[in-house]
Amino acid sequence: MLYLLLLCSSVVWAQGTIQLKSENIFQKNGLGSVQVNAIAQDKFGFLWLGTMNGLYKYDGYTLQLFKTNHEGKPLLSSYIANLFFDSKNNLWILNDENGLNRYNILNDKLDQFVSDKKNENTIANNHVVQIVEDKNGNYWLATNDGLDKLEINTDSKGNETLLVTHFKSESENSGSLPGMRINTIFPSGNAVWCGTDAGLCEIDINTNNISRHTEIQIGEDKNSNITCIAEDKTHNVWIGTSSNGIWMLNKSLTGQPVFTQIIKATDLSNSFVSSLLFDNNFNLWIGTKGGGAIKYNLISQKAEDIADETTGGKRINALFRDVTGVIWMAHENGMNKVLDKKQFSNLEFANAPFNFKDNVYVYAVLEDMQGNVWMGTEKEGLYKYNPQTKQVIHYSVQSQPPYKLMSNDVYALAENKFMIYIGTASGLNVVNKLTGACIQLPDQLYPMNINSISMDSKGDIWMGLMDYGICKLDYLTWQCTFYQDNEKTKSALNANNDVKSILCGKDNLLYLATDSGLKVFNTVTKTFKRYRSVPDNPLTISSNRVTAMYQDSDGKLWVTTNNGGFNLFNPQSEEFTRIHCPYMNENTEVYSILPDSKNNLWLSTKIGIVKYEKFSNNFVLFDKTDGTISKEFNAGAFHKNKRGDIYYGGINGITIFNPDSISTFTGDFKMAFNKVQASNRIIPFEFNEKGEQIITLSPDDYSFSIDFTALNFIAPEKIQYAYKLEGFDKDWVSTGNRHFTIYNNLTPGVYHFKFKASMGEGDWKESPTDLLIIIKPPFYKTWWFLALISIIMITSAYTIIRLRMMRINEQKKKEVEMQSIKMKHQFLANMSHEIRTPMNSVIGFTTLLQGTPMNDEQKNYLNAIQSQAENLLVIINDILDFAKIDSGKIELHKEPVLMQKILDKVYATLYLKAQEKGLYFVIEKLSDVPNTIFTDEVRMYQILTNLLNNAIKFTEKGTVGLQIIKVEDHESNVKLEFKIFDTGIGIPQDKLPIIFDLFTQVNMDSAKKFGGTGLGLSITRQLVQLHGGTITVESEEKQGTTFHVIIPFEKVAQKVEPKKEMLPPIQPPTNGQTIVSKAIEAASIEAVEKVESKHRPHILLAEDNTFNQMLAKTVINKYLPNTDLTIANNGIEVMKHLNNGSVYDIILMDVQMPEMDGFETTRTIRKSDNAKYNVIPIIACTAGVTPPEVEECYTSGMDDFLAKPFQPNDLVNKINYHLNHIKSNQTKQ
Amino acid sequence: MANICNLEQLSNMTGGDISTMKEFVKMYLTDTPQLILKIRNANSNQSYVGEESVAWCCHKIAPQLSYMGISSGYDLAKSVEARLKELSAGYPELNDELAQLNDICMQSYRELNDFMNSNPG
Repeated sequence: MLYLLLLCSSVVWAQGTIQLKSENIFQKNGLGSVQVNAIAQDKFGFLWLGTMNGLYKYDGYTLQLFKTNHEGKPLLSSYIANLFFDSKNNLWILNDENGLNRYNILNDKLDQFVSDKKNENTIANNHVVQIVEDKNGNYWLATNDGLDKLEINTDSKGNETLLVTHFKSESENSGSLPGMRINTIFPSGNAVWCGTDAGLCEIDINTNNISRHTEIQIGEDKNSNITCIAEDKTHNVWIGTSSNGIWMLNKSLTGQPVFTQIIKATDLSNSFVSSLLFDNNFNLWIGTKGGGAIKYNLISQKAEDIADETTGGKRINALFRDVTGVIWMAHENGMNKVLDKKQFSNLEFANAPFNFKDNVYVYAVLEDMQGNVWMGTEKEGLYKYNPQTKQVIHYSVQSQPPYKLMSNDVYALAENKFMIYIGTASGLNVVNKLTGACIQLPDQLYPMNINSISMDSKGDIWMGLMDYGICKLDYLTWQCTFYQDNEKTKSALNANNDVKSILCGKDNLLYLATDSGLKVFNTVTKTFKRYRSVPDNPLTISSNRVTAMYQDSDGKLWVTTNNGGFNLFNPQSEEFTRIHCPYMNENTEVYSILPDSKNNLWLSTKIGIVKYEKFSNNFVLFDKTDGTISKEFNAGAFHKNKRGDIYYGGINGITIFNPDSISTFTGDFKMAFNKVQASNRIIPFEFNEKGEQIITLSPDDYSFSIDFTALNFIAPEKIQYAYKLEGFDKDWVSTGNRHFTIYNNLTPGVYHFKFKASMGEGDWKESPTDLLIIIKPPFYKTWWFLALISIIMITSAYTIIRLRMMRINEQKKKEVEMQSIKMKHQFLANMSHEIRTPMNSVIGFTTLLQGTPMNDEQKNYLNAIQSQAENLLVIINDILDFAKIDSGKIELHKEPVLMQKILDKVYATLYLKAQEKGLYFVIEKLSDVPNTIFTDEVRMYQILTNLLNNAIKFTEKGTVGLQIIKVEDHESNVKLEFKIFDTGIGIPQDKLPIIFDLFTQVNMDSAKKFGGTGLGLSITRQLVQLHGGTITVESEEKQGTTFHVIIPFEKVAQKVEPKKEMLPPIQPPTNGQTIVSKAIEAASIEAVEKVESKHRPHILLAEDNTFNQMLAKTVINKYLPNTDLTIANNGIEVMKHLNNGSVYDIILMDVQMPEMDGFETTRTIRKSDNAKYNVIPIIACTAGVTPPEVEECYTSGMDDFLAKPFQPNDLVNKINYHLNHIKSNQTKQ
Repeated sequence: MANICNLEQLSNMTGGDISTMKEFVKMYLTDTPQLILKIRNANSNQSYVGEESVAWCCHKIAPQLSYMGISSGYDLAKSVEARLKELSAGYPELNDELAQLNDICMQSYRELNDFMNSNPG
């Protein structure tokens, strides 16, 4: 009851300029004076401030100059005149004369709107002073050039179209704006109120109809300049003007608008009203341009100027009330946060109904059991105040008995059921509660200075005395007993016994605050124990000058010292714990400690009232801005009544409060993620469909910080935080007041970050949504990269395997090729060995045979044998040479050689051949050709022989020759040309480029006709090249061919005269060919005769293939040993044999043969008139086994058919069959 | 790799006389390289039919392959011969088939050379 009365009386007593708890957040953030023009709050609770230097965002802790991330696009101007948040989370930023910015805080998108006179659907003027949104979602723009209504339509694709309706002022048109310059607009229901420089109007937002209110006189000036409009809770519209005060519009009973001037301009500290704001306590806050701010209470209808210290500036540009009720004042020096919460009530002497002198210090205070308030002062005695009767009794030295005191310095008060005990500077006084009479007792205490009084559980009164220790007053006998600590110390003489404060504790212990430490007096043993400070030992008390004590229900003692020390003493362990209070320092005197019902401790100090919240180990400071009587309180002036109200005595009065009703934190708070920074950049937030904020971090953002905030601006420093990163933090991590955290080197993935905040009393509130943190893996950990790597690895492995396989295959192939080459060489070697050996024997024996007596015919045969054997040897040698050259094994063995020797050898080798063909063969060496050359004789001979042999081979008539010409003569070498020419068949021009290729012959006919391996020219060229020379050819068909072999030879000093300069040309022979033919013919006749004489069956085998020849021969020899066999290589030979008169019993006829095939031969035989052979059985012996081929065999005249390959018995059976058939016929004949 | 030559037929023909068999093998080793050479030249000269043509040479070589028991080579040679008689301008697979025939012959040379070496005298 008393408390309520005091509260009421507080209001009655208060008057004049009010001072509220306030701070300039720009100065607090070290930004100095920055003109703030506008304030807005977003859905998260962040404040956005428009200043002359740009846009700021405020989270209760720090001001952040905001820059949009939107494609780096800047605002139209850094000067921000006004701000407005619409229902779509767009922040409209008005750039004074530069147009509009629309920034969406969710998607970080910035759009800009500027005037374009050519386009009707743009804003009328870039000087937009205000923008509001009506309930239809349309925007209204106050500009210097009329009013714009902005309708923004969005199609399904998100494209916006703008429809702008311009409202102008037309003097004769009452349905137009009263003035063109629009100062302010305010949406209210279906109307938008519009304040212009020439009056007020109301616009229907649906019809766009304008209703002027200029016919209602606002003050004396019809053209009143309307500067601001606001609406109270009852929807009355309040209008601020530039010079006519503040008006209120309400409706009359008939519904007509009625304007009432609420505050005259002259009653305002400045007539220009810039801003109006209503709070929830029926106060209208008025901002002026130049006169600061005024608080007008709608109920009491009293206006109070707000102190300049509270507003922070004289020119109030904007007033704003955030969702937690904090009033914000934007002005020329920044922006002040104003807390209009006075929780402390004061009993101020200045406003009291009795007269006090100034600067009265209250040193003792007590509310007695009857509810009277006793105030002991220094120099002014004791006051007893009855709040109910408002009666005051003053006890002092000057007062008449029974109110006379022994001293006007009252330092301690205590009571029991009947008495008030008054400790003064001159002893103890006692006031009988019943009579109110004051007496002095006992005499022993006079003139002792009683600093402190405490009553023990028995009711005895213990007093702390200055310099005299302690004294116990028996409450029945009033006998005094004194106790002094006689310990000798180095401190001041009486320090041991100067007891500043005394506290009756548990367990018969008295706690004494002295200047020589904490002393404990055992009332049973009557002994003192001392606890002194040891500076370096934190387990000792923080200082020896003890100022206040309190023992809690656990028996622990809380002790303060003069140096701002705050200690917790454990009597059992006798150890102190020093607790740091951020508000207290060496100069902070603590006068008292009192508990409240929530176990918080309240300390009266030199700097105000400090609340210690044991639960959170948090300290809260309250001072005059919170409504306390003074900043400084006094020692001993503390008291807690039976209801828990705390009294503190200060200067000129006392402060009274109930600790439980003092809120250290009021209002709810929103929770938001402020920003995430990584790599010195702010990571933009995104939002998912659940409304969760998302940040995406790149692999490079290995370290990042998360700034989270509980947005309550009343006391952000009191908010406690804890956070948790799910998937990383096992439990909540408490951070105290810190509201950010840093993470390093998180593994890629998705994390959920959440935080919670508390007002400091354990009631934690979690963030409504999580922050999703997506840490992208480095590219080498992304799925696609891993997939790619897998693919690459598989591909690589496949490729490697493939390559390996290919290599193996190539190697195998190479090995096969090598093997093949080896085989070839082996084959050739075998051939050379197998053929050359018998050939050598043949040639050798032939030579030997030639040395024996024989007739000419035998000689001719023998010569033929030798010639063919030599030809065969040449072929074999060719093949061997080819093999050697192919394997690179051929080497030249150069030595000085007589040119003539080589030429003679060549001539000797070939002249017979030439002669046989009737060719003119000439070798000519010009005179300047050196006689001796440095060369490999064998290979040189081979080159020339090959070429000349070819020439002879392909020349039927004319000349074959060799001419040697010196083409170059150098000091060390000479280059000779060997020109081999003939008049033969020539070489077609298209064959000339390939004439030197391996196995190349001009055509098949020539191959068949002239034989050869196709290796000769290739070998020759390679031999020439081995000599370092070149070989070229020129030829003309049917005219002849000339080979040019040019070879450089090293010069040799040795000179050998040639035997001949020119070899004698040979003349064409006339019988060479005839000799050979005769020999063959003779052999055939002899064979025939042999067959006839012995009546042996004689078989003619027409077969060009030696293998088949041998096969047939083997089979016949083996199975038909009494049979003769003659072999013809082709049809022509068959015919020769037949025409020569040879008689054959059977002809085995191959079909495919050169010169004349089997069909043609058969037909020739059958068509022949020669009865000797035209009926000979002909057995087709062919691999052509298709029906047409078989058919053709019979058609051509063959008698039988034997398919190759044949089995021996097949052949034998066929032969026997026909032999028997012949025999049978002969028998018949 | 399995042997492609099967000298069983040759053995039958020669009554199992190794020396005779060697004669035939030697003849095969002498003759068929010439034919392969001719096939190669004929093919490069696009001489597919007629004397000394690819078909002609295949016709010639086929029996010899058969006598050496090289059935795959025989079949291939006969196939080439038959197709060329129908497609006198050649056909796309010809080169591959001739290469295959060449490989078969090369393989037969290795095998038959082993035969020769393993039967000295």
